[in-house]
Amino acid sequence: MDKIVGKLFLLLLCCNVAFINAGIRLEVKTSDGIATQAVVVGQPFLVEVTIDNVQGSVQAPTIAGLEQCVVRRTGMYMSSINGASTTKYTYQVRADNLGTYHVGPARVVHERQELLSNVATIVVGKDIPTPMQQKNKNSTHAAAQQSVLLRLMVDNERVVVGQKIKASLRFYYQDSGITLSTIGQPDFVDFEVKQASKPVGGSQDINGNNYKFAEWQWELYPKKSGDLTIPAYSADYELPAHDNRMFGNIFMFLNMHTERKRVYSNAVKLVVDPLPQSAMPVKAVGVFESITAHISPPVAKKGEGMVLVLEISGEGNFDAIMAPCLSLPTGLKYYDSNTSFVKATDSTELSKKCFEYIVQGVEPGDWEIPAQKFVYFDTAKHAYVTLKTSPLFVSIQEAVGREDCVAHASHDAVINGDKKNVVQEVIAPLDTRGLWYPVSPRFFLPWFLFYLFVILPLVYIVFSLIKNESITFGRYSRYMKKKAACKSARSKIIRCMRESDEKKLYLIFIDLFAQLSQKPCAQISLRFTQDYFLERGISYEKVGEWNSFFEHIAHAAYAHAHNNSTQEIGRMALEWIDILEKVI
Amino acid sequence: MDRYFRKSYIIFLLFSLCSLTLCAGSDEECFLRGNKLYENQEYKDALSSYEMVNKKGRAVLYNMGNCYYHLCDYPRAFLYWSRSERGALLSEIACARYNKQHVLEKLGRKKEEGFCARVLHFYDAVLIYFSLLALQILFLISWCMFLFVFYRNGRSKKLITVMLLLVVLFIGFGLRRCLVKQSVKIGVVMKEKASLFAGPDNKFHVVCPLATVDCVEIKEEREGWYKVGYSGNIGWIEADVIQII
Repeated sequence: MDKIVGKLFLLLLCCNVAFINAGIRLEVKTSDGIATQAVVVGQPFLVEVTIDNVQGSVQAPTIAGLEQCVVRRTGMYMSSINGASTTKYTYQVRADNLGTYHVGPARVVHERQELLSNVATIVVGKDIPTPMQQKNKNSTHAAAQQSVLLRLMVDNERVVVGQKIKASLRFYYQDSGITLSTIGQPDFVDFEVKQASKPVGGSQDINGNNYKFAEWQWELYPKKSGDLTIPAYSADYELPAHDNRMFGNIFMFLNMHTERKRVYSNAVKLVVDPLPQSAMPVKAVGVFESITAHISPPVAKKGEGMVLVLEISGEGNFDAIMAPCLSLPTGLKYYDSNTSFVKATDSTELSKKCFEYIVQGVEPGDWEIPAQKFVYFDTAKHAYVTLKTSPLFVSIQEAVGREDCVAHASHDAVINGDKKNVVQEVIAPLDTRGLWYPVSPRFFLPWFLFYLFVILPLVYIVFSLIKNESITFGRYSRYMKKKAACKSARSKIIRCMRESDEKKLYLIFIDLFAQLSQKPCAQISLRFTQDYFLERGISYEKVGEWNSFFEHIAHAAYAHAHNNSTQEIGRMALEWIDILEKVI
Repeated sequence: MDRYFRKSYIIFLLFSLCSLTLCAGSDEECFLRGNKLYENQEYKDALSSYEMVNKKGRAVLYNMGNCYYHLCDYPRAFLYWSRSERGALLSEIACARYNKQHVLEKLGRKKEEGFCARVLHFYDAVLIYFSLLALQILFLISWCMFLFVFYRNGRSKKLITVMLLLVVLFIGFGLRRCLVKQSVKIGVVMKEKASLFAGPDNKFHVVCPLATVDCVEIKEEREGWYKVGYSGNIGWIEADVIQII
């Protein structure tokens, strides 16, 4: 019995040794952890090396074939059960070129035993649908997955080293419920990347579907020549979870309400040419408009600092432009000072970079600062261009002793404007006699009170003027009416004379008096007319004449007697009209 | 109780008087010390001594401008000389203006004064001799006289009316200048390169560039920005770029 038990134990031990044997395997997966053999150029994928059934810890494996790709180890996982451990090494890999890659075998030496894994074959293609996407097509969120796109674009795919490339990334989406969490930027080695602009929204039709998009723009400057790839960007977004279960809403606060997803953009391949040979030191690459120089003040004493400013305006990588070395005459020396950059706010403006230098006069005299040169590679002309400043002229004066710097000009000389006696470089002397304490302003009329005082007499005068004017106007208007009545009567009398009709004269005068006295015609009588004349200073004799005239025309009107002296009566009537005109 | 109150009241009065005298003495002392240091060409120390004067009069401000000039801080010198002109006498204004012209010349910004500017300076010089109250009263008297003569105008009084009108205009213009000086804030650009923006943010387009010691008229203040007028343009400038006179 003991023998049987012993043999069985030996058998179990043999089986254990046979089955628990150390092993290593290599797998290629997408970033979502799905095994794959086809990946997209520029997009990261995972290479996992799993080492099973080893005792204790194991060192990281060496993987053949990965040197063609950009590799970054992202993690290590180890679990141990009954002394036998499983170790997993994960690498994030990116292939920047199209083709077929053979990754593996992974090699590990453990306890003097070399472990070799399988070899994985990866096909790197352009926009190959990955199994993840294929899988997602079947998932509940397949539609949403397809409705999200990330596109990377550049304005120029063939550039020279240091030339500006405008890159833009667009996150297309159809579902408004999608929330964009983060944009993952890949590692850039061969490019200098500037900060991206704020996102701009818009919409675009792609394959008949309308997409909304958010776009970011930034600048890239290639640092070396060759075929370079801008790797794919990633975007993490959140989809709202749709729970159709009964009572789903009751428990939804216990669960996450959103589902997190990741989408990758395309990678962009660039051809970067080297700069052509140049005899001159090249300061920048781009398109530059001008270089200007100015110095302030142009006149200084020996040893005194003057500020020379070089201003370069144009388009290019201003961060890479270092302060140019100045060529100065022997009587001057300089030190670098501040550097400032003014970024163009819109497309019509050019960015500017200013370099400040402190220039000191070493020897007195008039000096010419020669034109400063700035050599750059013009990307528009594909040639080297040299920009020059205008020469500057400075005058260095002999330094004056400190005592002389203090003002010597007398107050009187300054006050009287006798500036000829004042040395040009001095200022008026210290005020030792003036008020060192503040003096409160003297009392004055508050402005509202002042304005009131100004307006009051004006209002009074304007008011009285208006009053007087209105009276005058009233009088004038009455006078004009009376004048018009006389004029009308005169024309009627002339007509009567022409027609030899003296009967109408009576009515004409009755009507005229009615208008002059502003009374009804019925009230006009001989007595009334007499009083009218007497009131206006007409003599009694004249009034007597008027009586006889008035009786005559009244008789002519009512007696129906024809008189041959119509012309004579008419002339008299006109005379009385003249008298009336004078007295109104 | 009354006696106690009276006693403490007298003590309080004496204490206030002493402290005021001490303060005044201290300010005057700082001013005189500053003058002394300035004469010894210790401009930095002179400046700090002037800074210690609590309530700075126009002489202190003027002397501070001189100190800044010798320390080669020309914009600040210009600012303090401008500040010292407020309420100053004719001779003091002449000195400050001469110094300001000198600074402008040094900065390469000197402009020849036009005829109008000279007339205005003359006008200001005349106005200095009159207080604001005197001007106001003179104006009111001449205004009333003018209105009276104008109202009662005969043909022979035309000359008097015209003369009175001229007097009214002359004094009125002076009063307007006084009012403008009282109400308008002027700022001096302290930075070498500044810009006038179309709105209160750097993102707005630049209306026109500004240079050191340019004077701008402040119209409004908003969250670290000033709305200013400068040579016919109106725009916004950062508050730390300018100093108010």
